[in-house]
Amino acid sequence: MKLNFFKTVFMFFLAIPFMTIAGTEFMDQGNERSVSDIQILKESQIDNGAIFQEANELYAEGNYDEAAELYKRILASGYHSASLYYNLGNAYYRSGKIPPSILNYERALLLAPGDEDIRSNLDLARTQIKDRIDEVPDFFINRMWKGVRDILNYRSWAAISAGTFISTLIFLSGFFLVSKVLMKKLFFWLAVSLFFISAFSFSVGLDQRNYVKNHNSAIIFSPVISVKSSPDINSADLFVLHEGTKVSVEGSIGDWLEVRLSDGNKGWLHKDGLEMI
Amino acid sequence: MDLKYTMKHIYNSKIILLLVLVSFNSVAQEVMFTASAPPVVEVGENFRLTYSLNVRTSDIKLPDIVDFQFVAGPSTSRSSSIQIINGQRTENQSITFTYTLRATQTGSFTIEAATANVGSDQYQSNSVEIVVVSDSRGRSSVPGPQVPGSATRPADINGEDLFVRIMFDKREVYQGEALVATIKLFSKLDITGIENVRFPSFSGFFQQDIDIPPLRSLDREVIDGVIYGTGLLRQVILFPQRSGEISIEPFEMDALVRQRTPRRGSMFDDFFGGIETRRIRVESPRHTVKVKPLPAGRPPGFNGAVGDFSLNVDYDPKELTVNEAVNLKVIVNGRGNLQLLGKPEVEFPSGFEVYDPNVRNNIRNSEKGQEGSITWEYLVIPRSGGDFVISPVEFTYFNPLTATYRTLNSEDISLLVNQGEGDGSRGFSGVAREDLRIVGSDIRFIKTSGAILTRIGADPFSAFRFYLWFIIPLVIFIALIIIHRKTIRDKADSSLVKTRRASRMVRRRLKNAGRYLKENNHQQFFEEMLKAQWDYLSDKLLIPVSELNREKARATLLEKQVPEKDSSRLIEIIDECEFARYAPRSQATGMDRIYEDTIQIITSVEQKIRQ
Repeated sequence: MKLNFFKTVFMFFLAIPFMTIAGTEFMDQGNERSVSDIQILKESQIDNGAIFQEANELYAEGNYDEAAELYKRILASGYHSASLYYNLGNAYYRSGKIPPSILNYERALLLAPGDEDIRSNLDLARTQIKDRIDEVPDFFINRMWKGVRDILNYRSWAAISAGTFISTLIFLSGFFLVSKVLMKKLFFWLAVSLFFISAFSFSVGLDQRNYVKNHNSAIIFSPVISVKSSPDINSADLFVLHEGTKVSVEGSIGDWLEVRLSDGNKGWLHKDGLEMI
Repeated sequence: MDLKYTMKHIYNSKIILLLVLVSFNSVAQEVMFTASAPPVVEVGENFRLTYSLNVRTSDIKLPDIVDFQFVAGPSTSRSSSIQIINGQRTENQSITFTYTLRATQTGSFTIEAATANVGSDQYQSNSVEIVVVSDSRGRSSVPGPQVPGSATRPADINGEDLFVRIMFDKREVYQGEALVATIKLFSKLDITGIENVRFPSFSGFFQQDIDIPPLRSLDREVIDGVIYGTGLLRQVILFPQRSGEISIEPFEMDALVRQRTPRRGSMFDDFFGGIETRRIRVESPRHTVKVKPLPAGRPPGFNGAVGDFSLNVDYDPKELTVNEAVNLKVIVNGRGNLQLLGKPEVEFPSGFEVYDPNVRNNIRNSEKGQEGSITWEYLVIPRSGGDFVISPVEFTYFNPLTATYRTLNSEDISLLVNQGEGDGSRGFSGVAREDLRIVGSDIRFIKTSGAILTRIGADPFSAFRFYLWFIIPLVIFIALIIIHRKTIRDKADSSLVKTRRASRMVRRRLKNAGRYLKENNHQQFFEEMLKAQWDYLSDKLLIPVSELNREKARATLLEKQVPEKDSSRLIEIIDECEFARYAPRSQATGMDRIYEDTIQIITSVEQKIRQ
């Protein structure tokens, strides 16, 4: 009887990782939610899926403007995905609107930092903009860290972290329950390594999430815009930027944003001239 | 006298004959006999009627001139020129007869053709039409350089006597549409020359001059019944480069006007004519031209062509072998801003070597605008064989008359390129392998699947439910460990209870057995003893009753380090008790000894197992 009890508990633990993986999607969808909410969510998912397919067909036929409208409708319903932003960026690119296409590629890249297609198209779109700004190269450790971090998006890191944590607990329970010395050793080391993986994915995911949530970048939308030395229309012009250029926003006063270019130059821009990523 | 000697050399095989032919010039060239007179004159004005002839004759017969009064004439002038080019001698001559006539009445009159007799032939001149208008300002103001005595007084000069105009053929044009501007001088005065000319810069326009003959004399034109001498100064085609109201600077110049000096009461002054030349600055009014922007909805291929065009694509040969050249011509023909056309794109397959096209213009500027054609000539060499279809050349233009965009498409261009003889036709040896050539770069295609939509702003790291995935398993784990620990402890506890109970029970049973011994109730005694012994062993050694037997009990006792003799004695006693229990009363001896020994052994076991 006692043995049966332990078996049940053990099986329960084993089931948790699978539940985690299956539940990732579900978990991502937000915070507290009632049953009816979830039902509505599922319906709108189906609806949006149909719109997405329709938009893709329009794109394939060459109706880029209409396709872009449909993609935007899905976004307006409060849902997004990397593919959605990517396709919208493509539609804009095809109709010759480079700044919004760059904006959407950037947004897609935040959701799927490792996606090669997005990077390739973003690079291509960037060749179409006027400003050539030298980027200050990153420290190589930072580059490596980012390289690892951007393999997956932070949702996946979170799921991996939760899954491995649960596996850690399973093996740890195994370590306590099993009496054979060899098995005990095996379970112990498995638990330790899984715990490290879990902690690593958690910190990577958290870092990426902080980057995504707190990075204040923007894309210039005005064809030409002067960067001012202070938040005042009458202040001196420092330099001129053209549409499509990416700047990072470091502060704001009223309608004015303090921006920094990738080459380190700083100045003030009126917020009408750019769009936050 | 003026004979022309023409020499012809006729070569025969051996004999050279020289023939001298003498003939009249008129035989060799066509006779031109023309009459000319100003188209418009005023009543009372003297004018010239001129007949010119390119052969020599004096026999010219005038028609009857009844509408005009003869004033003088004929005066005859002759000219001749002789040219010798490469030993070829040509001679031109002309003879002019001039009559001075005076108009006497208003109306439209025709001077009939005159007749000239040249040798035995008769030639007819053209007839001349002359409009006579009434004298607008008395006899004083007859324009035209051919009337030298008609200079005006300085006081008479005003804006109506002398002005310049810039005239446009359209008031409103589309951006890029041709607009012809004509700068014209109007004068009633006797102008001897113009100086300090400043043409407008026409900024905002692309300009093309129309060739006009140099200004030698003023033409006569009637404007509101008044005769003006007019001179075309410049004519230019303008192509607006931006939209909006474009203002054009005025045209300015100095006119040199010959005038009679005012009379000073002296008869000589009046008679001999103090004639002076005055410099008068004239300026055209300022103009603005309204340029409309091109309407919205321009097709993607549009690159600024405005006008009316046709497209023609011609190529030769249509079938060829690899490495031979094809000549492909794209011809745009029509009227519009031809000089500003961008070249139509031709998309050749990637295996073709294409050279920059050779552009040939055949453009005429006239007051109708710019007309003609532009030819782009491509030299293309296919480097691999096959049957190629080059997509049609597209040319988009805006037609200002219909205000619509039109796209012209040529026909498909199909080329059959034969592989040539053998496969060594490439002209170079080696393996004909090509690197992957990046022909163009384009964005990658959209993602058609795998769009799992998530709510915007969803973030596991800030959602409490995410942490539940850590907390709940951890709680379960801890609970499991606690339960596990507790069961182990409970197990330990239950054996303790049993051993304690074993001591207590054995004591009670032995007490009972002692009572039975005193009562000499041997059956009850043995039964009680057996129970006491077995129960004690079971509880003390934690062996379930079902599994308990002598061997197991002995082994367990040994394990618990109970001395050998004690355990053997205990088994002996159990055997004796079992035997004595069912034996008759007489054989029930040694009850006291059994009782004593049992107490002694149990006490010793108690002591051993306690630790």
